[in-house]
Amino acid sequence: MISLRTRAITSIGLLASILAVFVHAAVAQDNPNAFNRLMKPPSERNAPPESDGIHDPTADGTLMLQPPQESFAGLPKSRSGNYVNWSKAIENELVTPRSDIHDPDAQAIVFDLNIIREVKGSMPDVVYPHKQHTQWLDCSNCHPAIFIPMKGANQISMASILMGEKCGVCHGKVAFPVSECRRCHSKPKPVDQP
Amino acid sequence: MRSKSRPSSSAKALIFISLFIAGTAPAWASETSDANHLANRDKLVHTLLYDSSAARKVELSGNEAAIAKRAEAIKVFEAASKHEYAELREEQYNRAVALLYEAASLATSSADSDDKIRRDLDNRQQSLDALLDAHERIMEEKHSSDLHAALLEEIAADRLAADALLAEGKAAAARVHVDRAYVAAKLSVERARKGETLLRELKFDTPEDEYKYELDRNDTHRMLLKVLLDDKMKNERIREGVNVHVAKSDELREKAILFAGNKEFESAIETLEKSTKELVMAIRSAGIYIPG
Amino acid sequence: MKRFLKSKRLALLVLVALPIMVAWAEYGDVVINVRAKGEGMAPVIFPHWFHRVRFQCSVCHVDIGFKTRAGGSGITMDKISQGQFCGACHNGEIAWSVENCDFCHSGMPGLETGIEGGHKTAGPGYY
Ligand code: HEC
Ligand code: HEC
Ligand code: HEC
Ligand code: HEC
Ligand code: HEC
Ligand code: HEC
Repeated sequence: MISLRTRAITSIGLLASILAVFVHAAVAQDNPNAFNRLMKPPSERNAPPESDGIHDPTADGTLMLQPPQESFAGLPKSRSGNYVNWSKAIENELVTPRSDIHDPDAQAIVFDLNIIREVKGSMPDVVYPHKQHTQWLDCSNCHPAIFIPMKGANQISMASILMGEKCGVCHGKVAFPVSECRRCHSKPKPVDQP
Repeated sequence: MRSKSRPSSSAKALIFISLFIAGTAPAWASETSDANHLANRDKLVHTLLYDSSAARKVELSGNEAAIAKRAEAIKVFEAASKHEYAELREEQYNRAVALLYEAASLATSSADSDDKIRRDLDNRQQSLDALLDAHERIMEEKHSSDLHAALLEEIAADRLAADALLAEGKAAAARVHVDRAYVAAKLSVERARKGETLLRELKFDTPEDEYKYELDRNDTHRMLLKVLLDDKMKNERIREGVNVHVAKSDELREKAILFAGNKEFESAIETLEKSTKELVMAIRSAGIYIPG
Repeated sequence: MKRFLKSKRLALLVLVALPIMVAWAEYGDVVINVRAKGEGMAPVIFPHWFHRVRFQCSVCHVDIGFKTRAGGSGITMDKISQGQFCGACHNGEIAWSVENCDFCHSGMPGLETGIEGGHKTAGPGYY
């Protein structure tokens, strides 16, 4: 019924908004002393599919899709990525993803083993928690394809992570991005160390 | 980066104008829109029936039942295209899709899916082996190798059965046994290490190893510089400040590499540490704090 | 019912999104446009956030066998119709089935295969 009308409105909307963005951006440049100069305003997060720049706003299907904000409303927040703290969300059972396609009650085996990796200098050490990972992943996601299951057997550096290897296979793509340093570098050094 | 600020009055005017236009948007649209939707469906289903991998497979399979099914799908599709009632057309398109999938099913030789089953099985087998290695090592460390022997005994029958089935080419059946062994190994590793915290210390066997680590650490900071300062480097004043440190760092790094070339690793490490320090200072000079 | 929702969403879109509308794809959305473009189909967009609320990663990346590389799994409509890949769920039982072409084929023409996201940072005080 509505699709052509939809399209007409959307294209008018698109046109006007493109103009509006120009004006908006121009205003922004004008005011160097605006608050939160470097912070992504909440309105730029979790765009609905129609206006996220990759979905085709003129396609019938696009408007049927769920906007992320609707789903994220009740979930704990984080500072980047989906702006959702997925670790807390699953820990507090605010999301309960199935571990089996068919069986909603199947429980995954959660493995509580931490591996601390020391880092040179005053950068806090990295704590790798198996627990938060096995809530989402199976051992075979990582072993042996990404990591040999042996403490210290894997060379990991931040450079490789930023290149999308090791931890960077997931972090920076689906799991929280590398910009949240403290979630990995979570074990501070004693104060008297250099 | 763009700032969060209110749209100017001219922007507001624009928005109001566009809202106004949107509000009075064409009521003439409704009839044509259904037609539009259906035309779109027509095109999509046509693609599926004629050009998709499923269609091609049926055609190339030489399987008569499959080819007949696809012909039936095409007949339903063509009838649908001519149908008067929108609701009925929609239904028939769906039926055409379903029929094509039945055709593709008929044309699927068991070899197609065996490939994937085989690959999945290999992956699972590798994970099992990795966990068994870890298990053996951990049990040795804990002076309870008998527990490793017990695990091996527990899964022995499954592993034998899997090998036998695989030899007969029955990958799917073998998978069940490999899975059972895998779960047993996983549970046993879990029990052995549960609640522990392991520390991987930063120790180097040779100065050369430490030199390599320092080189990595230097690379890391160069990449962090890019990641963290991407936006800030657009500001000329910041860029200049940063570049002073980066130039110093480059110089030190070159020196370090020369030292290393002469096997003077102690000096190389010290120089690289300084080079990295300059990079930390570069990042901090742009107003972003990272520990050094 | 669906259409009603659609029009309401549209009104909202026009009202809310207008002044700020610029492209920010959701983190973790995967664009798959390996075989689609050759056949004149719109690219596929797979939303990770939507699926991870419902399924653990291991369901797809171990049990079903999606590779952790965009475009790497060799998905085709034929395999989907055989119950592999997306077809393991989009079969009319666990989720809506495959005749809803444009729920999946919803991308703008010409998008590159890949994942949205990357190491963008969100402001000062990253550390
Ligand atoms: C493990 C099961 C599973 C697999 C595999 C899967 N999906 Fe889904 N998908 C779902 C479920 C469940 C829904 C929700 C259905 C509903 O709304 O009832 C869904 C919904 C969707 C939606 C609609 C989201 C919205 O906003 O409503 C899209 C788009 C989608 N899937 C695309 C895909 C694509 C593309 C693939 C393959 C690359 C895929 N899915 C594979 C289970 C799956
Ligand atoms: C997200 C990836 C990931 C997943 C999933 C994962 N691990 Fe690990 N695992 C690691 C990393 C990283 C290490 C540390 C390697 C290192 O220090 O070089 C490790 C180390 C280990 C070790 C070595 C500990 C030792 O004694 O030295 C064992 C055993 C292990 N994992 C078992 C498991 C089991 C069992 C599961 C499933 C329940 C699992 N892992 C799931 C990433 C993972
Ligand atoms: C196979 C994918 C994968 C790999 C590889 C991986 N992670 Fe994760 N990690 C996840 C997922 C998924 C989560 C859940 C949180 C999220 O999605 O944001 C997570 C969560 C975490 C958390 C918990 C954060 C918190 O606030 O509780 C830490 C810490 C972490 N990862 C560190 C690492 C480190 C260090 C490595 C490399 C040694 C690594 N991860 C490798 C997928 C992965
Ligand atoms: C996904 C987890 C993760 C995140 C997020 C993360 N790191 Fe790391 N980082 C690691 C791991 C793992 C290592 C390797 C430690 C080792 O040597 O074993 C590391 C090492 C480092 C090192 C030492 C040099 C090297 O490459 O070994 C520095 C410096 C560093 N990180 C800085 C940062 C900064 C700054 C951020 C935030 C922008 C950050 N890291 C975010 C996991 C992470
Ligand atoms: C559940 C999600 C989903 C649905 C629904 C879906 N597709 Fe696809 N389709 C995909 C994916 C994923 C690919 C692989 C894309 C690529 O590699 O570029 C694909 C590829 C294709 C291709 C090119 C490759 C091939 O197999 O021929 C065609 C043509 C196609 N789809 C047509 C359709 C049509 C027509 C419909 C509706 C009847 C449809 N698709 C419904 C997910 C979907
Ligand atoms: C419903 C199924 C599904 C679930 C659940 C799922 N994924 Fe994926 N994932 C996919 C598909 C489909 C692709 C694209 C594969 C392709 O194009 O061949 C993908 C791709 C990826 C990639 C590759 C991106 C790149 O670099 O190209 C990563 C990393 C990834 N997923 C991580 C995760 C993590 C971590 C989780 C859990 C938090 C997860 N996935 C949950 C279906 C899923």
